[in-house]
Amino acid sequence: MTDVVLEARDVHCSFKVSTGFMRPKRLLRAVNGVSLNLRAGESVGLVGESGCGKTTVAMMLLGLIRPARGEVRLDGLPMHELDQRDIARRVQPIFQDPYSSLNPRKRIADIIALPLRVHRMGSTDDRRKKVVEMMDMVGLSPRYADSYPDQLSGGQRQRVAIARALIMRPRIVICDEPTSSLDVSMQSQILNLLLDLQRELGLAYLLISHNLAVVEHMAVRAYVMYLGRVVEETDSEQLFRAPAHPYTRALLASVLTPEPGRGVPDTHLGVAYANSIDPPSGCTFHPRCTKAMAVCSTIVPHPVTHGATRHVECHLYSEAPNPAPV
Amino acid sequence: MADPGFPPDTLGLVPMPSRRAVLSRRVFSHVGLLIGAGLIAVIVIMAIFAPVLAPYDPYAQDLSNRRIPPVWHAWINDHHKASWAHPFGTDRIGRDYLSRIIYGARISLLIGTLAMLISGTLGTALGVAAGYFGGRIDMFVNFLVTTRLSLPLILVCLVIVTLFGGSITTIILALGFLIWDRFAIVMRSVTLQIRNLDYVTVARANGCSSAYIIFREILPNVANALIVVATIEMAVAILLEAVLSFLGLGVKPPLPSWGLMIAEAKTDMFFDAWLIGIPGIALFVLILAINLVGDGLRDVTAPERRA
Amino acid sequence: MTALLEVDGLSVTFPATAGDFRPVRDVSFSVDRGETLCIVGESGCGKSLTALALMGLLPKWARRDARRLELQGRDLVGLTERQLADIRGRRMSMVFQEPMTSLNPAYTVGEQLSETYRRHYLSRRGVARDRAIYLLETVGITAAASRLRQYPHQLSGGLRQRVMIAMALICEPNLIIADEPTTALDVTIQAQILHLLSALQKRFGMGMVLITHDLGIVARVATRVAVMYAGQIVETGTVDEVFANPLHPYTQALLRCIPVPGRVKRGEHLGSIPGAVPTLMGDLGGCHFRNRCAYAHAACAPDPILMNEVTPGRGYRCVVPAAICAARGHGAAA
Repeated sequence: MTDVVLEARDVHCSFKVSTGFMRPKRLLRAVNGVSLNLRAGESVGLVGESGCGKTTVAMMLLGLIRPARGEVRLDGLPMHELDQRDIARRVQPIFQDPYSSLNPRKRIADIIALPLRVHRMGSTDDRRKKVVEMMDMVGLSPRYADSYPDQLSGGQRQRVAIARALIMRPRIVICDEPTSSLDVSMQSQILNLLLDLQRELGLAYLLISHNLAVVEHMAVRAYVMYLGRVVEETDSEQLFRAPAHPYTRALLASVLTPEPGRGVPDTHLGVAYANSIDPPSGCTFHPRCTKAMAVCSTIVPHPVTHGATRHVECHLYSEAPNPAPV
Repeated sequence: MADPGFPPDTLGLVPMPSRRAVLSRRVFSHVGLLIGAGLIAVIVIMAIFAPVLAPYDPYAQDLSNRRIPPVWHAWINDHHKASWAHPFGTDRIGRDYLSRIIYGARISLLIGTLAMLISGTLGTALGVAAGYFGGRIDMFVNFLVTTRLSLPLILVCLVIVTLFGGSITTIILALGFLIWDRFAIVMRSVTLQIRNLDYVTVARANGCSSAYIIFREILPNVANALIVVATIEMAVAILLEAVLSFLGLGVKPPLPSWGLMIAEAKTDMFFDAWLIGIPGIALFVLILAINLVGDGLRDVTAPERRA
Repeated sequence: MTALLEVDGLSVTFPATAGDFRPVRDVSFSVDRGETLCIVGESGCGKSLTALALMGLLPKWARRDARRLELQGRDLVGLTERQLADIRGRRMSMVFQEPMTSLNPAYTVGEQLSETYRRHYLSRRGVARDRAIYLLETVGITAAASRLRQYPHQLSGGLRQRVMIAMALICEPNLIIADEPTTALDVTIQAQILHLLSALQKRFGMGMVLITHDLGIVARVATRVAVMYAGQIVETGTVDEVFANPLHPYTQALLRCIPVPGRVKRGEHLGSIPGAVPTLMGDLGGCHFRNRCAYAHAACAPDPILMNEVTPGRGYRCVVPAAICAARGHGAAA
């Protein structure tokens, strides 16, 4: 397909972090060779736990962090050659916490109009008209235009954030956990709104979330990240019917659907936890994996295609070394 | 949604009061703030209208009327010289003490305000730059702060006054360039917090300039902290001026600085205690008022408060 | 046999000059041994304050009223702070939401664990230490002895929550109150912690009050459910009853809001609840949900709505007969 609007090609990114008093700084490999793409008008999920690097990926896709290796391409152009304003015309973010994403000292109308101001688009009256139009589109009464964020509820604030993201009519929206700090009833309203806006405006969403049920509901395709790598890429349906990677399976088992009587499943993940400063050798998931083999602790698995799964990084599916389970 | 027979009742949907209403309610229910603001208003009016309010020329000596005690001595121990002609009495060269106190307010407020503005501008600029840009700039500012903190204030002032003489301008500049450290430290940490908030990230993603982000997104949100530090630093500057003047390193006689008045009176402390007491109390009241206002503003502008 | 915890008519009031803030209003429930009661509701419905009221941990200026508040037949109302301290930790203990802020960063895990034990049993240091190791192993922490010397910041979020649970269990309480114990954790860790909590509860035969906003957790963990809205319990029942046959319009609407893989079609609209939660000041009169309810009519106000008891332990707070409610809730059932 040729209509890829946003693409990351083998991007890497690491930070120096201090590990304690009087100890040397160490390298935290936040993103370790991630490739992903987003087509026009498509919703794609990016799933993973905290610390897996999904927010760093989002920052790179927004042009805010330049990858140390690899490149991000926007509409076929390398991101680092574009001006931040050109990027902003095409990609906009929506963040998780509607309390920290709105400046408490600004009026709602000024918050929504921020992108227009930066790009010097239209007169004050034009902007005002656009803001009111946008507020109407996201289901906010225009009487809030001169209110401040602290006078709005969490759901209303998230609507403001969405209005601000869409006022430039971008083609791509990066949604970083758009509903996870909202109540259940608010979450469903925001998800419905995002779906409507996508249909109306032909938006492409990259939906970053740890909630697999939300991803399944919204996205057609999903990337699963673990410790800075994409370990599985697959269609949503396939992801839920037959997850390939053991980590994806554990993740899926952890989704607690409201079905009484099924109890809480045992994910068998153990208490070892992922540390991106000191990643395990070989496959980084092997200390927590129930299907770990001898080869897993020494050799890094290569991505392979497995049936309907587009991409999976696990020795269970590699052809070459075929060792016996431990 | 509801059927027509059912009136759309309010059901506890209390309308949100406007920001201004909330603020004014908080201000007028904060006793400390009101007292502090009232006292400061009195002192400021005193300073501005000093020529009208002062009954005498503060520099005019009257050697025939030296050390007249304040008016209350007429009531307490029936002192024959004490009278309403000199309500606070006269000093040892016969200058009217009330007039000198009134003019002294000018000096204290002038030095306090200007030193606070200079140090505030300097410290805020350094602190915000350090917090926002981080890296080498942060390291450089931290180095400056450490250097400044290792300088003993009084000794540095001593050097400056010996080199440049003790005029009001020298004192203001010396204090202004010496007490910016608290501004820098507080502004740096507040900026660091705000810098990582999502609305700053959104502004960056939209290609806003650093200047726009600092002036429109960050500074309005550090104003609370800034006001509180500013009141503290103003009080510090006023006290330091008094200390320096007392030590003979501040403004020079015959200027009616409160600190200088205390210094001049120290030889008479055991005989005519009011000579020290009156400027001392004036200083105390001004500092107290400034601190009350600072605390009050912090309480009133805090985003969340017990309802 | 009496219930382990018996709560009748619990209310919490924060007096204020502008009008009393009443976040918990006339809440009644009971918990038996070996049973998990889930209190579910959205933010601001009063569920966390209910938990704090049970533990006697409300802020000083709050007022707690209850017709009956009994733990193992012992009245909790009117106890002195000292008597309460004897019960907290020993008879009932609490697991909080944020494991980072609920552990003291200045003490090691071992010191914090054995402190509770020694407070209640006045045992020697060595005994308390053995007990701490035993409990850390029980909550699935390996190399427990070496963990005792670690400080909270050296542990991951999941491990900290395990330590919190170990601390809550160290004196073998009869009742555990867990307030959103997994909200701050990742999904896989959440599943592990909930799995652990249910297993431990069965093993020690404790009663548990689990407070959450997540209907998924409720369905998987609860024996019985209490749905809270705007300070009141609006529906109670066993987990099967409530999920298979929700009666209150709020419960029904809430169940329609969550996407369930395989049941809700991708990209389809989810159910939603329009409007906002009322501010819990003064007397609201009538049904608290009436301004957001699709079926609201004249009978919903102004008289307070009472709990309709269908069978013992199964009730809902609505004026409409149960049969009609059940028919309306048909599409929402899980």
